[in-house]
Amino acid sequence: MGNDIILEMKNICKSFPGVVALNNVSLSIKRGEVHALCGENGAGKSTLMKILYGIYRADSGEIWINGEKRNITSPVKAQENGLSIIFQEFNLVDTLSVAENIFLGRLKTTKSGKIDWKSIEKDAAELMLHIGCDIDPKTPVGSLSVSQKQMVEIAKALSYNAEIIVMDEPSATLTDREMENLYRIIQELKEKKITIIYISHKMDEIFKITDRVTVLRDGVVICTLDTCKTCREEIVSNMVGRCLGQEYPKRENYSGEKVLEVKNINRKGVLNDVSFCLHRGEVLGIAGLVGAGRTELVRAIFGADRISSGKVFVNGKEVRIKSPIDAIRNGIALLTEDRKQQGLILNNTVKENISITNLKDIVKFGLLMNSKENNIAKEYVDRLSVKTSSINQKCINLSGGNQQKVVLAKWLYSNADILILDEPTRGIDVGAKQEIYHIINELVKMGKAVIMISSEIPEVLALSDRILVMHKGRITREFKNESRNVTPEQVMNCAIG
Amino acid sequence: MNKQAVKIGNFLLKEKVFSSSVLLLIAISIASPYFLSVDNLRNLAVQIAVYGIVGLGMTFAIIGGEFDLAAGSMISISGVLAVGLEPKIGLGPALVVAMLSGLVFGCINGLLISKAGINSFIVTFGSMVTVKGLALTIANGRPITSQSEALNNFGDLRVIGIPVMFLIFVILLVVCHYILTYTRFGRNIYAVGGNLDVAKATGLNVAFYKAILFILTGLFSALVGILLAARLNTGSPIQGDDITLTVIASVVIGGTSLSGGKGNTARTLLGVFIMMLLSNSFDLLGIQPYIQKVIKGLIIISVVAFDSYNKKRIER
Repeated sequence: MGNDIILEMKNICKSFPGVVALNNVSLSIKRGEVHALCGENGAGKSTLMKILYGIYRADSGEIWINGEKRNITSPVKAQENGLSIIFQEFNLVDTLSVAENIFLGRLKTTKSGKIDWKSIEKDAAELMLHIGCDIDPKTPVGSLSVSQKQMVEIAKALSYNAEIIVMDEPSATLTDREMENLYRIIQELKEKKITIIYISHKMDEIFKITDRVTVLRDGVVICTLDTCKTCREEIVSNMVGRCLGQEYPKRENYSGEKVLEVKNINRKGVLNDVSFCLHRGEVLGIAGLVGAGRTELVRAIFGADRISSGKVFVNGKEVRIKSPIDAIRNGIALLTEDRKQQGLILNNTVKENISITNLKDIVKFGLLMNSKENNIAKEYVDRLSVKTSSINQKCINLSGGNQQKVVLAKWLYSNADILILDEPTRGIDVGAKQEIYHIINELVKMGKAVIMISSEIPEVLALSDRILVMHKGRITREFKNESRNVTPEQVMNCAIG
Repeated sequence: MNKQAVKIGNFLLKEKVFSSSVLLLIAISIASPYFLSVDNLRNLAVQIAVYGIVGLGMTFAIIGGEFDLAAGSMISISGVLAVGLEPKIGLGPALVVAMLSGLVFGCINGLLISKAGINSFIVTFGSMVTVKGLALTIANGRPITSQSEALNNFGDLRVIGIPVMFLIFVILLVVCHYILTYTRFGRNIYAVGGNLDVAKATGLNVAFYKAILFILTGLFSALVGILLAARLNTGSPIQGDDITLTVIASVVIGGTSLSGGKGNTARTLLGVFIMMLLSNSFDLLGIQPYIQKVIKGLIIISVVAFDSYNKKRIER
């Protein structure tokens, strides 16, 4: 059993204009194993999987499944060969029901050609039960949570009799409990001899659920290791190609005078009498479980959501913030957790995305001054070391970490004094995370005030000068953390309530 | 018993367009005794049939994530062809040509949009103008009076007192409902409109479905062109002008979203019903036609505005 190879990708090469995305990549996967694929953003994981699934064509190389060479030219071909991929952006139609999504394109019909809804719904319910999930198959997918949608995708994969399921960072948007459920399902699939390729950045889960791990870097396979015989440091150093040294860079305390004060903010059902203040040169961390009201709090301060009562003071003066426009005028910037939807115009260039918040600065007599825009874009790209082929590159072509840097650049250029970062390191790799930490340190050194929301408690503890913990729309505790002495247990206890 | 009442209450609260049309129905029955007369109801039925049949075609298009601005022009040209050609080639062949016109223009629109990938707004707007020009040219700019007794009689035909046009509409309504709910073909249209990328990844022939949408609106429009010519004993090159946008608005008011992937024939029926009921009521109340347009326009905007306000309020 041990050496039963189900999938082999041999000497895969793929170039895009100007970049070699994959250079002679070979990968072999054993039947029934959970195989982690990790690497920094831009290492080539997604490209490799897209070739496997027939979305891209490899320039050269072969794919063998069950000992036979296969020619996979389209997703449909891939499905016929027992392959299924669950992308981060789900392949589901929100307006259709669970059952219909599972059997999309191959709805069963009766002899007379009429769709057999009863049997389709029965089959869907069985598949869902099979993975321990009871969602009514008639529910429209649009009304499901992210984790439920994932379950539907897994059921869909199983309905194709998939032997190999690829999951692209499936846990990135899940809560802890939902993750546990996902791990349980993966365990069950494994018992059924279904092979899983698991793309992930998270070391904890790689060690928790995978059997082997392959590390990619710059389009090359660096190594394949048995998970039980390796350690976190070995994987990370292989990923980044260097010793990272200290995970969280140190900095001095620059705290100065009060720049923002929030008094008794209320929003029905979401925020309950929240008060806090923020100082110049300080990082204020906000911790809490998903749904504790962290994002809602900063959205309210930013004017994206309405507040029912409460006051906001900027530099000691009371301000009324009714919309993001008011907030920006008062020097407050919000970097949303969803950078692709709300942070960037993905189809625009790096340059255009940086200049957008402060166009008045580069407009003279109503005309855009190209040279000034170029200079400014270059300056910020250098300062934040954004890896891009040029400032005229479209943001959609950048890796997640670099996209995040462009968002930061955009708000820095807007001259905001108060920067609110909502999950600034979500979905970006270890190396880029560290760079973001350095940028945050730079910001406070410049005298900006930073509010940082993060679900990763170690990150909050390492970066924040003070920490607020939220639970059910309230601030349950404030910790002073100048000497970084707060422990994860202390924070967790307050977060649970 | 009580539960039933609560259920109905909730339904009426949720389906505001439906409840308002019921209220309107009651109000107009009281306000104008003529409303419930057989003549008026027949008249209303014919109106609903005309807009409803086009609406069925448009329902397919909108569910599939598109809409067809050329529908009105295709109504006009079909009527002009049917009436204009009848003395020369006979009624049967003239009707076939009229229907073919819908098929051909629908095909051209569909292929330009699905195969050449040109934006559907531009394509159907372009063919709206072109086809209307053709209709005006063929008819020499004037309405043509129908010479065919058979055609004219058909327009006034009734079966058990019900106008035959309305019966045709009901039959098509049932057929379309069946197709959209119970056939793979119909369900695939929802998938294409709901999320094009997913539909592609599932292996659906997306281009085929997109093309079909416009062929369907073409065919339904051509049919309405013939029916209107029969009813009015005339083929007019400007017959369909006002119909297209009213139909699109009706489908949306019924609750089918312009973003695609959602909707059904019942909703289209509801939308068409309330729009026609409004026109009919205005006529009966003796409101001036020009003012009618103003009021109708405002109502369309308010209904959709109210709907999206409600959605936003829930989100905020």
